Amino acid sequence: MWMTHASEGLLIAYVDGEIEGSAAAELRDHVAACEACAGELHELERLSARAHRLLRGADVAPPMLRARAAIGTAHSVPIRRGLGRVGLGGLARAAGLVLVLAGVAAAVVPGSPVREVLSITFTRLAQLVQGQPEDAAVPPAPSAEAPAAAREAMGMAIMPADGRVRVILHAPAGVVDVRVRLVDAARARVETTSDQPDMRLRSAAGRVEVMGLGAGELRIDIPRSVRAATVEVNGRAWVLKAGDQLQLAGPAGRDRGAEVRFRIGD
Amino acid sequence: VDFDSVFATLYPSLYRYLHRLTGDEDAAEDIAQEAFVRLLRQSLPEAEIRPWLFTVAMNLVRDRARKRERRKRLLTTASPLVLRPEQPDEGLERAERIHWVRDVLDGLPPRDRQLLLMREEGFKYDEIAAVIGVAPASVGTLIARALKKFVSAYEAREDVDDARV
Repeated sequence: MWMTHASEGLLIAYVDGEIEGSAAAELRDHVAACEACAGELHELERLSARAHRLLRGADVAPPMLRARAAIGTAHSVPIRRGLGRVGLGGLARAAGLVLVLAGVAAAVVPGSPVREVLSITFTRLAQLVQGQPEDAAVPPAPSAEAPAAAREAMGMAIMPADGRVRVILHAPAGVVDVRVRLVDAARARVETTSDQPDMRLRSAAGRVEVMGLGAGELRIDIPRSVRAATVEVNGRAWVLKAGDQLQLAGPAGRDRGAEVRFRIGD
Repeated sequence: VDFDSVFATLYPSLYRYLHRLTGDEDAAEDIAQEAFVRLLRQSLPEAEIRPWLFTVAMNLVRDRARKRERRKRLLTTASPLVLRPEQPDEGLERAERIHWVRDVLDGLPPRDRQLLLMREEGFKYDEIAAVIGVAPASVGTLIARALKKFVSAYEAREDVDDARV
């Protein structure tokens, strides 16, 4: 039998599962018999649940993709040095030479099929030098819908069609952080960390559609070489490629409860 | 321990903690990233990784705050472009409530804020004591008082708002 009331520190420790075994049983017995301690325990449980809800309600989605990419770059430094000892220098020099040739050919023969081939070579060599295998982050474009289950990040890459790319978001929900940038790559890429179980990516010629996108991060890479590109939300274009630049096309924002936040560039 | 699995497991928690602590998405992202980069240079038993990460992150938060104070200028990180057309009332209300949470958190003593937020991330009391630097036996009492301060301050804001309406 307790002679005094349980302290608030003991009660919250009980709520948090820090008290176990016989000590927990003893405390339960006391609370069952003591109205004051039962009231205090109930209040602490209420405060705990309320604090949890309030904090969760103000959270934003963690930028998983961006952070992992940045950390991966940092991590690759010692690996690159290690490769250098067994011949990366030669590879880098060879890559550099091909890059120069690609640049000259692209500049001299605009519209040539050679330009496309060298552009792809450029992209692949650049990825090799950076220690990234082609499509390391994004699987090849599937031919049908891809389920989002059990993935940390989900992505899709497509070739432009007739020099155009469209990325279409259907009915996004929650806070969606969208980053759109121009890249020196042949294919457009879409990656997301949204964890909506019913989210789907669908591709067609020059087009990626994202359905059921939930709160999270969406990264869109648009090939610099395309003539036109749009990022659309519920059928309305918010980002356009105009000339050599990406531009916000209008007042993006809330749409049926979603908050879509755009950033242009890295 | 596989770094990718550690990252996938701990990054969301660390980022969430830092965002709640600082109220700054860019600071949370920078500090979490720096903590993970430093983790790559460590060789730690699996059980020690999480407290180590949070301790390093806390030190980085303090360093950042000290530098900011010393230089008397705000961080020059770009804010995300958030374009919001006319919001429905429910959107405004939600934004206001989030603002209250931020205000109330900022109004707490730093130690109370850390206690609450580490508890929310599921740390055990002895881990919280080690990171924050208090006696393990005092953690329960400190958490109970911090909880009461946090929720009562928030509910006071609600009461004022209700009275205004």
